Amino acid sequence: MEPVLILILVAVGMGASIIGTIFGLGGGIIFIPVLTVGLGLAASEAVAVSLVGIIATSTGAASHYVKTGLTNVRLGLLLEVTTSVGAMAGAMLAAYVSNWILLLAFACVLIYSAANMIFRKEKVIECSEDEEDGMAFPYEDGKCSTTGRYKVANVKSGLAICTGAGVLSSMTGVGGGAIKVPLMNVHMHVPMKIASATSSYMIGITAFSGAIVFFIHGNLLLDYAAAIAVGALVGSFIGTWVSKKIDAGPMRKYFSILLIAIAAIILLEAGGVL
Amino acid sequence: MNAATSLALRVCLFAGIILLAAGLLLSEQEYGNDILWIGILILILSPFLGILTTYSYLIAEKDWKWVKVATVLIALIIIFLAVSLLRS
Repeated sequence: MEPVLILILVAVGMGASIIGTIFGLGGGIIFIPVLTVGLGLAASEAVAVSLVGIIATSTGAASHYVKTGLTNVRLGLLLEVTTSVGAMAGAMLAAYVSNWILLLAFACVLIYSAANMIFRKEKVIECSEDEEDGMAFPYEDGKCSTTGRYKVANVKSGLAICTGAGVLSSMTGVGGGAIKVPLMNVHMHVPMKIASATSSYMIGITAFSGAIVFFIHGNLLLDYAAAIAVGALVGSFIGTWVSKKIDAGPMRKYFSILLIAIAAIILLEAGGVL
Repeated sequence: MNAATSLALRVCLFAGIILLAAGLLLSEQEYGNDILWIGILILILSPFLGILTTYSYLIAEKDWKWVKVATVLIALIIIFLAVSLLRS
């Protein structure tokens, strides 16, 4: 592999990881269009490389969030049961689905994420001290004078939706954070900070389930994946640091415009125009 | 549990990334691809090793409800890996 190409891939991994970490995504939403449209990889090759980049991004971020207690590891494990089933099914389906279908599915995920960022307001959780039960967890975000608790709601339907998120994640190479974060926050009443951190933890496990299949079947471009992963790890640490410094709220709308532009390019690629 | 899980993730992550960086630098050598292969494998496995670390702590804490959840998740992953290996 040419050194220039390695540097480009490292830069792509770093940039996507920084943006993904700041906006609560895995980074795949950036990896795929760059790899397919920019570097000419087939969609299935790009998905495999992207999954490795997502693992580097999410594991780097999750290692920090788990240590600080923001990640709800138990909830993550529970939701990951059905998400993994979906991811495994998606990985098997991806080998039999045409490139244009994968690209179309990816564009749909981009548009969904963009609409989500434009229209969905961040859920504000009031401090509370619910009675302890199996799905109630402690929560401390610095705004409450005491450590509050939040009770996870709609667990069964949340588990079902996670199966669909897993299928999409594995088939398109997107980590699924764009679906999981709003699912946990809006549908399951998990505080936003906990939802984002738990999603980061889950994204890595979901991506593992998909990536290991590509790896075992030898359908992974090792040098591309390595360069992307190195950049993504560095980017995840930079992104974690930057996200502490800035208010990402107003930037969500600008980022949604970027997502729609990328979706348009992907749709042109899927239609054979590009 | 959280500290140990975080440590497991970081150790695997950094081990994988160091091997990947070395593999890229030595890509012209015959063994460069082998280093990349090992590095990618370690990196990909890191989330799963994180789960195993959490699992061992849940057992140690006798948190049986969540041990069951983690057992189902690990079993699902292992079954799928076995199927994938048999198919390849």
